[in-house]
Amino acid sequence: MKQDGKLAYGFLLPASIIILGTVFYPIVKTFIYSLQRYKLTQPENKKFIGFQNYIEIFKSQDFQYAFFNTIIIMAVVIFIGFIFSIITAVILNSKIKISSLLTAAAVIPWALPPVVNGIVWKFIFYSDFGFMNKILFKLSLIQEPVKWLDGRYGTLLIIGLTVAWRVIPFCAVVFLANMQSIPKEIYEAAEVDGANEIKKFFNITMPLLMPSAAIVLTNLTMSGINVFDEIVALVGFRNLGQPLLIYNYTQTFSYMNFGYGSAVTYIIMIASGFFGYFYIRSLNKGGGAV
Amino acid sequence: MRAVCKKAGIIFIIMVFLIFTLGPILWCFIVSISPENEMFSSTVNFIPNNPTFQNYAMLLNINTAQGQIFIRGLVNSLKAVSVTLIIGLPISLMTAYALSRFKFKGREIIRGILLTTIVIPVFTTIIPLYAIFSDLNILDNIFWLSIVYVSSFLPMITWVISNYINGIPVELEEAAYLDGCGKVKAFLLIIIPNSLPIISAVILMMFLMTWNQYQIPLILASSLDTKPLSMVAAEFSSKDMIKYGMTAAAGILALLPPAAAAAIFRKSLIFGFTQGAVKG
Amino acid sequence: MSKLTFKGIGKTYSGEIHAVTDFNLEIQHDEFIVLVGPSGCGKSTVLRMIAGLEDITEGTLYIDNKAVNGVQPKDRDVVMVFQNYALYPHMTVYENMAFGLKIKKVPKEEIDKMVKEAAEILKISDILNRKPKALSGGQRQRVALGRALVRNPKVFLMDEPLSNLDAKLRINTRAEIVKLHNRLGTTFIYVTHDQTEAMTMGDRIVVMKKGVIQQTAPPQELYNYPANIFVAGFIGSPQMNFIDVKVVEQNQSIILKKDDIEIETHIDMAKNLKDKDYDGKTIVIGIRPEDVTIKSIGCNCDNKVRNSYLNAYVDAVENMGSDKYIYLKAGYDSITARVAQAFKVRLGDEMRVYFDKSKIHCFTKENGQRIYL
Repeated sequence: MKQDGKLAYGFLLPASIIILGTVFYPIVKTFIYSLQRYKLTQPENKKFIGFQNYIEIFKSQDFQYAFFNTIIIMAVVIFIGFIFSIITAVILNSKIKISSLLTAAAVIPWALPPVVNGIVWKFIFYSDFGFMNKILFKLSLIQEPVKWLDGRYGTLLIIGLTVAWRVIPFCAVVFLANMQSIPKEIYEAAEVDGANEIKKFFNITMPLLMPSAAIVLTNLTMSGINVFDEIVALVGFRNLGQPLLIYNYTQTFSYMNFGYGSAVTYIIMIASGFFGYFYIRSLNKGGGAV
Repeated sequence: MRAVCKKAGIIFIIMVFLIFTLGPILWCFIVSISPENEMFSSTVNFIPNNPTFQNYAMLLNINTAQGQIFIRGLVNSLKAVSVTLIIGLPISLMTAYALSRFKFKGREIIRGILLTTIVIPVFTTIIPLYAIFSDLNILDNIFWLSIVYVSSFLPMITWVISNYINGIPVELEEAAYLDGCGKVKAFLLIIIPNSLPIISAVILMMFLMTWNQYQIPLILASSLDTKPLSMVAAEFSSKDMIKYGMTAAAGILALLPPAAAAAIFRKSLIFGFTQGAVKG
Repeated sequence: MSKLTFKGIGKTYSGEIHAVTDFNLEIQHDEFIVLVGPSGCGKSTVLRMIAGLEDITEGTLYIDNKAVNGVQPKDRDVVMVFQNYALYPHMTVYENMAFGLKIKKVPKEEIDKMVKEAAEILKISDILNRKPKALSGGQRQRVALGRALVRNPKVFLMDEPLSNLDAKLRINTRAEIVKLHNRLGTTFIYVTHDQTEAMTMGDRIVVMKKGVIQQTAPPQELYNYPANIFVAGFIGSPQMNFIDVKVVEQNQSIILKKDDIEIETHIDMAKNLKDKDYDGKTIVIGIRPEDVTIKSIGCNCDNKVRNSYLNAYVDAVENMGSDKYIYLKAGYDSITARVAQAFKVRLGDEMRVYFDKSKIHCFTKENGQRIYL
C-alpha cells in the first residue's frame, strides 16, 4: 500500500486532541502536583517539596491500612471470580436449549452501574434485616442479626464478593470463547482413550484455557484494585475498611490535599499499570477477549 | 432412572445459577415494593403482604421532591449518552480506520500508546481536570463532561473497531480505489456499510460505559443540572437510607436500561468485547 | 488508445526484497498480454503497479505515452478483476456495477443503460437485484467482469480470475474472456500461473521467474523456441525432457554422446554447434514428449545408425483417454513419451527411445540459455 501521511494525521487529529488534553496533559500535571505541598484551602502556600509527599505516604498508617485492605479485596475477588467464572463458562457451554437465555441472565451483572451494584448488595447484607440475615434467621442459624458491614473484614469480604459478582460474566465469556474454540476432536480422542467427563475437564479443558486465564486473572486483579463505586454505595466514605481508591478520594477531595492526593494516585497508577501491562500483553497475544 | 436423575441435576444447577445471577436484583425489587413498616419489622417474611408501587410512583412523579431529582438525573444521563455517542462514535471510527489501513510513520508507536492508555485509572487524570474545569467554569457542563467520558473509553473502542476492520479484505478498498474513490470515500462508502455489526456492538458498549459512570461525574459534575442517574441513586442510598423502598426503587430504575439492553443485545455485546482478541 | 510502456520497472520491498527487476515491455493497443510464471515470480506485483495499488520503486511506466508513476489508481482509467472478485458485499449486483460510474457522477439514465448493456453481454441480467453472498462462484466472476466492463477502461487487468472456479467452468469462462476481448478491442493484461490458460488466451506471453522476464513472445514461438530451460520446462504439458549430453565431432558431423549412445543431429543444428565452438563441451538438450518415439527392444527396426537410441524401461503409464504418457527410466535420466492410445506397453518393458532430431532443443549447461538459433 502507498504512503498516506497527511490524510492519516487528519483522521487521527480529533482523537489525538482529546487524548492529549484529557490524558497526557493531566498525567504530567498530576505528577507536578505530587511534588508540591498544595492544599486547595491554602493556595498561597503552594510550594515545591520534591518527593516528600511520597515519603509521607509510605510512612502513613492510614495508607498502609488502605493498602492491605486493597490486597484483601483483590484476593477475595480473584479467588471467587476465577472459580465461578469457570463454572459459569461450563454451564453456558452446555448444549441445553435455554443456554441462550442463561447467557442473557449471566450478562446482566456485567451491565449494571457499579454504584447500583453496591446498592443491590447493600440490601442483602444490611445489618438489620437484609436478605442474608433473614435467611439465616429463618434457618435458625442465628438469633441476632449479624452486622456484616460493621467490621473491617466483613466489609472487605462483602466488597470482594460484590465486585466478583459483577466481573464474573465477563471472565466467563472469555473462558467460554476459549472453550468453544477447542476442537471437539480432541475430546473425542480422549473418549476413545477412556477418559470420563471429569478427566476430560481437568486434563484437556483446563490446560487449554491457560491463554484466557491470563486475561481473566489480570482483569480480576485490576477490578479489585480499582473498586470504588460499590464501596460508596455500601458504606460511604468511612475510614473503616477503606481501600486505596477511597483513601485517595478522601485525601484529595475531602481534605482538599491536592499535593498529597496526587502522590497517592501516582502510586496507585504504577501498581495498576503494572498489572495493566500484563493485561495488554495477554491481549496482544490473542486467544481471549478485551 | 439415571436419565431422570441427570435431568433433575441439570435443573438444580440451572436454578442455583439463576438464583446467584438474578437473585440479588430480585431481592432489591422486592425491597422496592415493600411498604415502609413491613421492611422495618423483624419478621422473616420474604415477600411483603401488601406490595406497593408507591416508591416508583413517587420517583417518576415530577411533582414530588424526590421525583424532581430523580427525573432530572434520568434526563442528565440520557443527555450524556447522546452527546457521548454523537462525539465518540465518529471519532473512534475515524481513528480505528486510520490505524488499521493507513501507512504512516509512527503507526506502531501510536497503537502502542493507545493500548497503554486503556489501563490508566480515572483518578490519575481527574485531579488536574478538576482544576482546569473549575478555572474555566465548565464544571457542570454536559458537553465537556461527555468529552471526558469519551476519552475514558476511546482507546478500547478504537482498538476493538480496528481489529474488526483488519478483518475486512483489503481488496474491497482496492476495488473502490479503482472505481474512483479516494481513501475518504472508500471509508464512508465501503468500510462503514460493511462494519455494521461492530458499530452496533460499539454503540451498546458506549451506552453502557456512559450510563454507568460514577467517579467522573462525582468529581466533575455535582450540581443538580448535570448529575447523572447513577449519582442520584447513590445519594438516595447514603442520605435517605431510611427510605429503603425508595432507594431500592431508584436502584432498580437505574439498572433497568443497561440490564435490558445487555440482555437483549447480548450477542452484539459479546461480539464487541471478543473483537479485541484478534491479534495485532 | 491504450498503449503501455514499461521502462526498467522494478519493485523492492524494505530495500531488500526484489519482487520485480528490470521489467521492460511494450504493449500495443488491443493486445491480450498474459503474464505467467510460478508463485512469487512477480506477475501480480507488476499488475498492481499498473493499477497503482503498489508504488513503482524503479523505472517509469507510461500509459499512452504519459508517465503515470505517481498517478492515483482512480485517475488511471484502468480496471482490475481480482482473484477473489472483491465484490462489495453490502450492494446488489446492479449497485456493484454502477458504483464506479456513480462516483464519476455519470447521470442516472446513462448508468442504467450501461449497466444493463454490460449485464446483457455477460448474461447476468436476471441477477441484478441479488447480493454477492447469494451468488455462485461463476456468477460472482461474471459480476466482477461486469463491474470492469461497465467502466469502459483503457486497460483491463485480471489477476488469476479463473483460479477459484472448477475445471469445467474455467474452460468455459476462458473462452468468454477471449470473446470479450475481441468484442471490446481494449488492451487486456492477464495474470495466471496456469500455462494452459496463457497459451490459449494470449496474443503474447510474458514468462516470469523470480521477478525477471524470461521471455516475451507469442504462444507458438514460446513453444517452439523457448529462450531458456525454465521457459522450455514451464510451457507445455507434460514437461519437456532434459538430458545432459556431450557434443562430439565425428565424420564431418556432430553427434551428441550420452555414455555410449550416439544421437544424430539435424544438419542446421550441427553447423550451429560447430560454429559456436561447442565441440567437446557438455550441453543440455530438450525434447518434448510428443517428439519422442519408443519402440520395443526386440523390434526389427531400421538400424541405419547403430546406437542412435537410448535404452530404457517403462516406469509408469498414464492413460489419458486420447493418448498415453509413458514414463521411462534410462539410467539416471527420466524420459516422458507421448504415444497413441493403441500403443501397448507393460510396466517394466524394455524399450528403445528415439528422438526426432529436427525437434531437439539445445541449452548451455552453465546458464540454461538456448544455443540453437
